[in-house]
Amino acid sequence: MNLDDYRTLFLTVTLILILGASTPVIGMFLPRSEEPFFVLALLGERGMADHYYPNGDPNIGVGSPVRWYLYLYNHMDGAQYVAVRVKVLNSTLPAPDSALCCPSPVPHFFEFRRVLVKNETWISPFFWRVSGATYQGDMVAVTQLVVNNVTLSLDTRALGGHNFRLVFELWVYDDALGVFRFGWRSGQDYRCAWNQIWFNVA
Amino acid sequence: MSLKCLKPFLVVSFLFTLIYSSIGSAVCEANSEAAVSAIEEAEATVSSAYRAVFEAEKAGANVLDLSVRLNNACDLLVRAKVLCDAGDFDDALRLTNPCIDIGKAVEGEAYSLRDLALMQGEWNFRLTIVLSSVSIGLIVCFSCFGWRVFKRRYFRRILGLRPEVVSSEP
Repeated sequence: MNLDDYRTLFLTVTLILILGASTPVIGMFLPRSEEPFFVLALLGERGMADHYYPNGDPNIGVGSPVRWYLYLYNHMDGAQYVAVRVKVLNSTLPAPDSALCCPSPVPHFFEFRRVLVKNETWISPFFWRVSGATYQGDMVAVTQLVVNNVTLSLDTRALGGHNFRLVFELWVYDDALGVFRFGWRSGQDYRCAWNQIWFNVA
Repeated sequence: MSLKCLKPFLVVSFLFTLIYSSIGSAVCEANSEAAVSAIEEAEATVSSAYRAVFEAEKAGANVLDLSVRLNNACDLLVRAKVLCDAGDFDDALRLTNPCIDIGKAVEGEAYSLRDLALMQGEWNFRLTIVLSSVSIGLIVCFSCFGWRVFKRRYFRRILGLRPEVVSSEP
């Protein structure tokens, strides 16, 4: 190796060391581009995506307890104030629209509120049973539900007690507007999350 | 007992019932208004507290403890709303008070934590800049010094070499 080769080697090593020393400062100014999102899921009685109905039977009798778990994960760029609104629908009542991020027009009968810090996962029990139902001819009306030991009144009807559904909508607090909105802003897009489980009232 | 005797008694009873029911409904209405306005105040307090927690977290503070307390306030608020919807205004009102207290306390602490985290962040930023600059300066100095020492030794070694005489005869 001649002197020029040694000079090149010295310069290269020096530049690598300078780059290493300036990495913490460069890291402070680099933009972090992560897609923000939420995860909303419903889990069965074992905390997994199965065993949603008692004894695997979707025909749920009055007073029969059902055990589900609500799963929420926050991957937004900071703490978020969220509400999960629970609605009872039949097969004809309109469900939320994922394409337009439009919630179901049916009013909610129960709500969870939670402040989730960044990257927090929250699992909450959703134990419920039908405690009141009226039968008028072929029509079955669910008039009372007990959710997590709270008795709630409602009035949703379905023919023969078939095809009721519990819909869970994720609403996120919009700080600018000062209200909860169905869905959240993700870059240029608007996204939303909802979930539903069908059941019959026997 | 004749009807004549009963008449004043009936009139008084009727008036009493009327007054009692109107007072009762007025009290109920007042309770309902008080509960609704307390719930609105609790909603606003929890939202403000959330904003403070959000800012504190953005500034780099650890807000886990604050979020746990704020979630207790959220639970109270939801329960108060359920009770209010069910017409149990007194209990709804009773639950909103601790909710508001927790919300206000969390908001205050969150802003303090945010200010502390901002100061800490600025200090860390300056320290990082200074340490990086000093490191770069040291690397450049040591490189220049090392290169000069290396070059001097290199030339000394080259100049110290003696030509080796080798026989060119076949």
